[in-house]
Formats: sequence, C-alpha cells, structure tokens
Amino acid sequence: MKNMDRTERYDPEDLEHLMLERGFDELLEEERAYALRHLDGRAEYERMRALLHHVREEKSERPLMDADPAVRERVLAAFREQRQPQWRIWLNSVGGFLLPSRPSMYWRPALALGTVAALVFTALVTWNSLEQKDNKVLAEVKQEVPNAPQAAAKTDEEDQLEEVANTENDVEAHTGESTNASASQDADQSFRYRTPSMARTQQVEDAVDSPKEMEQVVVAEPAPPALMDATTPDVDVAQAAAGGLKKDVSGTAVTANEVASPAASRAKAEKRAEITGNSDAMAYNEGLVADERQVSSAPAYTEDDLIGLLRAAW
Amino acid sequence: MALFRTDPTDLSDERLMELVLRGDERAFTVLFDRYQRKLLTYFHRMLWQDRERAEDFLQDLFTKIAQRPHSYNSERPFRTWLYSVANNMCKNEYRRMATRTAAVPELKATNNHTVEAAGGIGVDHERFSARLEEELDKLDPDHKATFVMRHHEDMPIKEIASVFGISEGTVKSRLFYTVKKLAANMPEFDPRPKQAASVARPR
Repeated sequence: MKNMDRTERYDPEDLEHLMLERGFDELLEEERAYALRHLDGRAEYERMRALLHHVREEKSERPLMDADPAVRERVLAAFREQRQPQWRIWLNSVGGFLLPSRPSMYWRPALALGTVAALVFTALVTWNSLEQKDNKVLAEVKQEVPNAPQAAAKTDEEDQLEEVANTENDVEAHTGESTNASASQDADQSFRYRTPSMARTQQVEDAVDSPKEMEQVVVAEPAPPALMDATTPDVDVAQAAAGGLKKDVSGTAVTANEVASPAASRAKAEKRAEITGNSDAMAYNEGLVADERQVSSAPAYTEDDLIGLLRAAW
Repeated sequence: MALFRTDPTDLSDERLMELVLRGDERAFTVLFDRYQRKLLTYFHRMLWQDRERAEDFLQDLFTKIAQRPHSYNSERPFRTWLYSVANNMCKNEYRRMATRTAAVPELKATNNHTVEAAGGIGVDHERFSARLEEELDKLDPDHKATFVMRHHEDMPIKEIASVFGISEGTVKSRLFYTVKKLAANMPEFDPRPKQAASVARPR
C-alpha cells in the first residue's frame, strides 16, 4: 500500500530525479514499472540518464561568463541619466532654446506664437472697444436724466442767441435806416441774452475802441450787439484789464479796419455818435461817409477790365 | 552606524527593486552584479553562443530596467520577471533571425556553427557541448528555454512555470520530452548502447 502511494506520486520530474540518482538496474520494482510506463525500455532510460549526466558535468565545468566592464558602465550611465533632476533638464532646454543649433527649426513655433499673440491682441482691442461703447450708453443715460432742464434752458438760450444774431445781421444790413429806439432795444436784448464769452469780448472791444468817457457810458449801458465787430481779436480779459491793449491799438488802425468794412464801420460810428452825442464822433462819421462815397465813386476796375471779363465769360 | 545602514548586497531582489524605483543607484548596481553573469550565460546559450550579441542583450535588458523600472510587477518574484523579459527578448530575436534566414539561407549555417571552445573542458565535454547546442537550436524556443532554465540555470519547476505562465505539470512534461528527444538525437553519448538494446520492456 505504501509502495502504491509512492508510485502514484511519480511524475516526469521524479523520473528525471531517478535517472540522476540511480541506474535502471538500481530502481525498485515500482520505480522501474513507473519508468517503463513512460519510456521504451532500459536503453532509453540509460540514454536519457547519460544525457542528463553530461549536461550536469558540462554545466559544472563550464564557468559563468562575466560581462565586459563597458557594459556595466553603459548600463549605470543609462540609470544615472534617467535619474537626473528635472530642473537640469529644464535649464538645458532653456539654453538650447536661447542658443539654438539650428534656428530654422524655430520658424514653426515662432509662427504659432505670433499667431496666438495677434489673436490675443485683436481680442483685447475688440473687448476694449465694446466696453467703451457700453460706457458711452450708460453715460448718456446718466446725463440725460439730471441735466434735462438745463439742456432745455440751454436750448432756449441758444434760440435767443440766434435771435440776437439775426438782429445783429438786420442791424448790419440796415445800419443807415435803423433808429435810436430800435438800436437801444436790440442793445437791451443782447445784454440780456449774451453769453459770458460774448460779454468778455464786448468788454475787451470797449476797452480798445472807446475813450475814457465812453468807457463809463459803455459800462453803464453795454453796447448793442450790432457794434460787436466780427473782426475783434480774441484777447485775454486779464491782458485787457492790464491796459496793454490800449498801447497796441491806435486810432489809425481802427480807421484802417473800418475802411476795410465801410458799411459796418459807419453804422458803428453812427451808433457811437448817437449814444455819446459827441460832435467829434459825428464829424468822424461824416468823414467815413465821404470816404465811402469816394470808394464807391472810384471803382477798383476799369471798363476795359469788365469788358474783358465779360468776353471771357461769354 | 552599522545598525542603521544595511548592506544592499544582503537585501532581497524585491527589496532592491523597491530601492531602484526610488532612484537608488547602489541597489541597481547590486542587482546588475547579482544577475549579470547568469543572464549573460543564459543569453549566450540561447543566442547561438554569440558573446557579443549576448552582451548586447544583457545591456538592453538592464537599460530597460533603468529607464522603466515601473514596468516591474512587484507581485511577481524579481528573478521570475527578469527571466521572462529575457526569454521574450530571445524569442523576438528568434523571429527576427527566422525572417533573415528565410531571406538569406546562408545565415543559418553561419549562426549554427558559432560554437566557442571553452578552456579547461575535455574533448568529450567540448564535443558534447557543441552537439547539445546544435540539438537545442533545433528545438522549439520554449522547449529550449525550459531546458536551459532547468538544467543550466537550476531554476525550480515552479519558477519556470511562472516565467512562462504555464502550469508546473506542463513544464515537467515539456522537460521530460525534451530530454527524451535530445537523448534520441545524440546516441553517440550513450555509454552502454549494446546493453540498452538487450533490455526488453516488462509489459
């Protein structure tokens, strides 16, 4: 029974063990039976046994081979290279980027980066413009609500100023025919509706044109808008108050200016004369009228010139 | 100091591999020194006794471990895993050589006769070794690898089964029939040819 159990545990490995340990003749009956179950007979058993012995002897007499030290060095170098810190690799890549061995390799990334930069720039500009548009709309809404009455008042004031301007034009157009009453009425209106800038301009003009006696009158009763010359230089009020303007503008200059626009100058002089009642001013006015007649009686062109122009036009 | 510092040579393969995963160069060196001779001999036997090729394979194997230590499956014994990788490399080389041999038949003769003469071995052993290598090269690669692992590397049946991912019984059967075939193909080394022929089967 014991031998049977032992027989049942046999397998090829055990058979190999048997071959290495004992010859066919040395096997027990059960072992031999088991060996012959897998082998053709003693001859095969002995051949296999001899082979296994030769292999064992060959293995024991054949020493293990040593690798070339260079192989060891290469393997360890590969291990060290793999274990290098990351920051070194990063620095190496930066160095390689800054000093590229082949710059032609960088045109693709450069193109890509440039495109990205252009897109970002465009997006920022668009965003800013949209944001400004939104702010404008809000600002308008904010301004409209509280300033509506002021805007309306300004509108009224502008209308009145337009009326004043129209009145001035009328006055300039009909200077000779205007009466003292209408002139004073216009003056009152212009005084009522003039803007601060207009007042400053008037003040400067008065300081330039009028003598000291007239200044008092002008300050007490401002000159009508008809007297506000369009050619009046835009000067600083402070400079005018300092008196510097009296030095620069002389009577001849004023006369010359008035010669350039005789009708307006004459109307202005008449107004002055009416307001101040000065005989000198009246005489001055008369002189201006005479000059105007001279200018109108002496045309600036000859008949030949006129005929030549007509012929050319025809 | 000796209480806190352990000599890496005393550590198991698996423990050394854990240290390698952490970047320990000493552990890697110990593993290389521990296996380089066995693996070189294994490659030498498996790759037609070509020493240069065997060294190249040894270098490739450890370079792979150095570059990808995470590929090691810690659930398996390191030795088993190492030999399975080595065996796969050899099988790939067999396939490559089979393709080349099919393309250029002269290569087969060249590869089959690169037997080195080992110094100090007797004439019979040298002859036996050459014949054995020749017969092993005729075998299926798996059978050859099984035989080499078992009889040259002294690996247990269980480990061989783990290397190939097969059962122990399959390994035993494979070994038995390999030895039987080799013995049949090498009758010149039978010490008692006449006696063997006279023994009849009991059945």
